[in-house]
Amino acid sequence: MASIEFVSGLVGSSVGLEGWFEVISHNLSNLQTPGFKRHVLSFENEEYEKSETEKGFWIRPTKLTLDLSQGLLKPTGNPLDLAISGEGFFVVQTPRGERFTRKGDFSLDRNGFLVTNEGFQVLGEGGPIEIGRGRGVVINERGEVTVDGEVIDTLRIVTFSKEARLIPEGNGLIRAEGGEVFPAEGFSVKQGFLEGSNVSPIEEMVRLMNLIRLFEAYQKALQTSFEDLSRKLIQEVIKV
Amino acid sequence: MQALWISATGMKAQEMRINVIANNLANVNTTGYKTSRLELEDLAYETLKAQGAQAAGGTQIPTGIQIGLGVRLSAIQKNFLQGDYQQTQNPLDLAIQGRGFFQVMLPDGTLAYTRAGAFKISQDGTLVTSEGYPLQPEIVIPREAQTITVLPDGTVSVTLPGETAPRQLGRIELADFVNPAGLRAMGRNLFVATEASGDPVTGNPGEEGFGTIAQGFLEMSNVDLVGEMVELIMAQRAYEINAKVIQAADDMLTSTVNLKR
Repeated sequence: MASIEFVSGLVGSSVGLEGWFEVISHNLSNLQTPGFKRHVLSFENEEYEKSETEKGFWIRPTKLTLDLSQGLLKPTGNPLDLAISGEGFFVVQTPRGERFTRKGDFSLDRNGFLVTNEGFQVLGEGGPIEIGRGRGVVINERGEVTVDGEVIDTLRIVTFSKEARLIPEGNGLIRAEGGEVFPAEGFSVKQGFLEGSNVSPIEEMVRLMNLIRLFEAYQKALQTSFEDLSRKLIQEVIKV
Repeated sequence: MQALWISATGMKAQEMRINVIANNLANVNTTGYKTSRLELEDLAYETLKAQGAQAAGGTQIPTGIQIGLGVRLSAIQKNFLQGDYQQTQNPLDLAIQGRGFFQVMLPDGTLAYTRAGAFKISQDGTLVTSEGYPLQPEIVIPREAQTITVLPDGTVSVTLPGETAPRQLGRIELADFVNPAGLRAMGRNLFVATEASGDPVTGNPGEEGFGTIAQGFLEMSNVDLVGEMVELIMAQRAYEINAKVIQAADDMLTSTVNLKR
């Protein structure tokens, strides 16, 4: 039997779905953003007690996580395009502190430092990496940067402990909260490649279809409940 | 419904990408043209639920929810990879093999940089670009010159009638930048220095990392036709997918509106 609580549960769940929809459209709009990691929104059933015997529930989004699976590597031929195959993140110095990224479309600034598109310096073991006017820039799989035959620095590639929370900040940058940051192992740096977004258009479209059907079901249920409730209300009024 | 706007950013970004691809394809035969590449990045995030905030039951929310707002343009980068060479046999067609740019003087007295080395001789004998901008430092070819030779190190010499030894006229100087991708393209194959590119470093061809000069060759466009076509297909599909999401958002809104009949 429909009740006010049941209706509010349905409305709440519909609002939760809208958040999911936003995540899917964000993923799809970043289908071709290098180094983008798919966002996953988790839901949970929240139960609440209506009375001794009845229980209601609604679903609500609880957390957003990043799917860190590998994106496809795309050759670009540009020597300053770097991709990480395997685990790990590049470290970038921003005014807000160190940030992490898989978006390796780097370039040089006017002083010859390796920077991101926003002009933030990419960090090596010895701080910012100065390439200058060097002609032959070679970056090997371990991240060692060789300019004109001389090793100048090694790229810092880091990973996080399990408890760390990764929070996307936009511009391809990720902030880590809690947990520890330590050097990654089992990665290889690919020069002249960019890592594509790991969003799969097919999976995302299937999720979208699922969501629409679920939304429609809620709407149907809501509509039925409305009718049911108003009928009940009229009966109560007549009784009085 | 935020999803409408999020997908709109996706469509807009892909539209911009198609513009860049169209420009590259249009310049597939332009001497010294350098491919542009559009780079995308995810947009800032809206915090739906802050981490550490109190949840309804009195517990703390561990992760929080940041909803992304779509995608945006992060940069349009010039790719300065070497283009192919085309042999022309014209003694005034010069190509740079390696790094560097020819320096030309604009009518307003400022310097511009180019890799399109299809030079001509002006009325008074100066070496100029197709637009008539003189090469710097200026080189004047005497009217009676019979052959013009440009050596790989940039030395320009001519043979005059009645003389057996060639006469040296000057030397072509090249300019280079720490960050060529930061140059501003001003059209007509010309680039100007910006804050991002750094100041030009000048030098002689073949020295200090500068490229050498090849006479009788032109550097072709470095546009990769097949690559651009693939990019075009990908951009088109991504555009369609984002359009589909907008359609879905619209359908959902319609069914919400129809709740009350």
